[in-house]
Amino acid sequence: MIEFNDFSFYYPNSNMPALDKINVTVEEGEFLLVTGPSGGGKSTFLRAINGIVPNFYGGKIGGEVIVKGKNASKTSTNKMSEIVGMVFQDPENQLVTSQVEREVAFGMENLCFPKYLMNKRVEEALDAVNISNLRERSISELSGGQKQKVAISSALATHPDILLLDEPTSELDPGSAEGVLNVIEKINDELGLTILLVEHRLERVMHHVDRMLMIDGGKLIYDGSPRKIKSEYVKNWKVGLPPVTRLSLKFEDKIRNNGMPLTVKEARLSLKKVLSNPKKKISWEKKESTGKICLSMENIFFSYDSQKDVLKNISLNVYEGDMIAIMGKNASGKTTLVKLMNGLVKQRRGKVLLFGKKINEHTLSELIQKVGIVFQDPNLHLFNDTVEEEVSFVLRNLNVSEDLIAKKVEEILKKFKIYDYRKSYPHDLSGGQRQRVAIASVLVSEPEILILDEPTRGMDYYLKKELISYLKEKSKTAIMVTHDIETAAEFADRVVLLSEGKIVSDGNKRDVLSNALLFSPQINRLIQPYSKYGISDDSLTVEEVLEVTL
Amino acid sequence: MLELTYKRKRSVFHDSSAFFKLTWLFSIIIISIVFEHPIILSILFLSSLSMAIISKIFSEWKNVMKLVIFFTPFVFLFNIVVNANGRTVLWQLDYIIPVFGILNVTLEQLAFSLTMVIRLAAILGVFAVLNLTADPDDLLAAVTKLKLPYRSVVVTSLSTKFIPTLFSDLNNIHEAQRSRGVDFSNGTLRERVKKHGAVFFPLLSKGLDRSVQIAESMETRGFGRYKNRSFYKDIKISSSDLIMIIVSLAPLILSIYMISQGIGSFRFYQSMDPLIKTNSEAFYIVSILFVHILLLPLLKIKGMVTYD
Repeated sequence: MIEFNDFSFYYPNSNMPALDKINVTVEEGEFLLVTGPSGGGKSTFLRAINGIVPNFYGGKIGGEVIVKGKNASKTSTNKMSEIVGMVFQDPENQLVTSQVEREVAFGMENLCFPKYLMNKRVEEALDAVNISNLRERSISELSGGQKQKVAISSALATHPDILLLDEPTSELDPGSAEGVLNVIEKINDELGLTILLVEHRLERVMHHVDRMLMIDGGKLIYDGSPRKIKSEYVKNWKVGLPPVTRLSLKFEDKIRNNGMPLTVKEARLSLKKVLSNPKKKISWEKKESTGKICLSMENIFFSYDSQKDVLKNISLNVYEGDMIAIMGKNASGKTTLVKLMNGLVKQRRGKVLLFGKKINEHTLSELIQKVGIVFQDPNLHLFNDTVEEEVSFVLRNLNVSEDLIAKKVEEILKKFKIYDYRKSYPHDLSGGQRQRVAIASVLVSEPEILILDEPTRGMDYYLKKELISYLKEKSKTAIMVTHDIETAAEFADRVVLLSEGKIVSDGNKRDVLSNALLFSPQINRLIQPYSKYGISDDSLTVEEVLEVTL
Repeated sequence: MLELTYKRKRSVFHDSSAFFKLTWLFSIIIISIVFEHPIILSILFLSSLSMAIISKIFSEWKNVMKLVIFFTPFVFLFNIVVNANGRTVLWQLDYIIPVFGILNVTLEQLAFSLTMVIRLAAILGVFAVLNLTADPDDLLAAVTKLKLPYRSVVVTSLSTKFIPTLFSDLNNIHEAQRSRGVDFSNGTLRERVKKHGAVFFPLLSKGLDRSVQIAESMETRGFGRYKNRSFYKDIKISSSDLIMIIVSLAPLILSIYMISQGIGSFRFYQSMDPLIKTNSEAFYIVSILFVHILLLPLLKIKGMVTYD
């Protein structure tokens, strides 16, 4: 179905190959996961299959990609659309019409399908992803997960042989992401489509796929079943394997029969002996907030349009030394809550006190020394000419001496592995690098309270680890808005769970994340049946389980 | 907040054929370009105002029209600075500026500037009504049926679709920069201009990223594969729509006749023409007004027939 023969690709004005002599054959009906660190070449790989690379971006190629007998690089993308459908990362930026069924029909209209056939296909495509009930709805009224399902449905309607999905769940909360992935698996199972899915949050997808490709530095470094991975292969992988798989790799000599476990259920069976015979019994410390109150919110109500409250009756104290993860579904009010914490928006009712003083009574310079905030989208932060200027910007606003600025900037750039790019224009960097520059540009001033809104989105495993260790070492009080349960389990001491503008749970992470239906880490779900053997039922991370089993 | 995107609403104008909306827009645009007569331009502006009211989009339309208020001082200033014509001098600078010449304010300049503002309001108003009431997909279908280039229409409709997103990006960039110590409310004018300028590059970068993503998405769904395209929802012209189309084109036909007869021209300089010069001019102007007013009861009747 798809053949990469010695395929290489260089983006315009680049001497480094984005893809370097790739040789892969994909059979009809296969479900492939394409993964790798950010900037490693996985999205470029996908785009070579429908000819976006090089036809849309330009650049140099070597070798060829043959898709159903057609040379993809020499065929226009809109012609390739007859056999290859594609779904992108951001649901906002791929839908072009105003209504669901029209969106589903858009591709067929471009390909001049007759009306009777469009009627039939729209019906089928909506059914295939279970969104027939949304048919008449306006696109702007849909949630992120629903929009992604519309995009998938729209790609399916033209009956492509191949479906490419480029991180389709990265903007979604865990529940919506699961819904979208189940739909993708169903399409592969029931319609027999060849599917290539790019994803770096492997715990969500690894168990669904037949085969996994790992691309790093433009090279294919693994091609095989995800169940056949071994610790010697994964040593240098910069992606986060599912925690249950990471744990299982430590006991690989004890795993037999079905290969490496990829889900909680599989790991429960494979690691039965290990988990039912813990070497130690440890009750994990539940760290309580002990410092002084640095931020206090009392009965806060907030509304953007003075009609519907986005936050309802929020009361929350942040104590010095707190490491808080704020979690919740999309549109539950998480970002609004943190914007209130540094006075970017003003509450409709209630009181926000920052270090005992009303937040609006602080000057801007006081505010930025007390609360630093890094937003989700790094592009919003970057407006200076070089990375160095970007990172030193806030220090200059605080009138820090030039010597100290130089020292602090160098230290943080090295820590985030962007020192080599210090003279580069920030917008020329890759997405992951831009995100690190944005984080560094706020972290450098060491604010009393540091707020990060989805900082790990698009970050590979090692960068996440680096960020967490840096936050633990350098930040005084940190608040992280995240969908990433595993990151929350590793980073936080306290978890605040929001739902529809209300705090539904606020407490020690072990109390909030243990035994939770939606927001529970894999490891916690894994060890529940074995708690009777002595493993603490509020264990959350691989490292904790290793501590009692090794 | 400036809102220029179509939202479904139940109104007779929303539910009218895209062909009618296009002919109405086309007629008003052409007339407002060819005539400088203040009364004719005012009629055109009132036509878009009345459509905004009956299609229940007045508050969104009003926000768009605030742009006209924003541009008004510039229009007046520009005319006063570059144009020294007009007999009725209201104010004059005592000395002649070297190279530049005399700087004066005349009644004629003010009347001309005001008329240009009305023209701007008429054109912007009619585009606002179209954008807010016409489903871009219906417009696309109509334009393709008229054998006009559909690609340009898609690009135009997408650009209006992303205006709210652009404002939301702008707000987010302001917030991100403010949280890093950029104080937009303080500083000298020069400093403030510089600070606001710093918003431009992130905004441009976001906009470019977004347009690349949209283009990729459209390309992978076969956009532009063939010269023509088919339509999932066909747009049909009912007999009531046909009447509306004819009525909306009538002022344009009248205008073409007026031009051919030299009626309706209006001179501002050196001295201004009277608003009504001849009886036949009055007749034709009233006719244009009548036809625009006629659209309203016709829409009302169409609404009663459609919804009852």
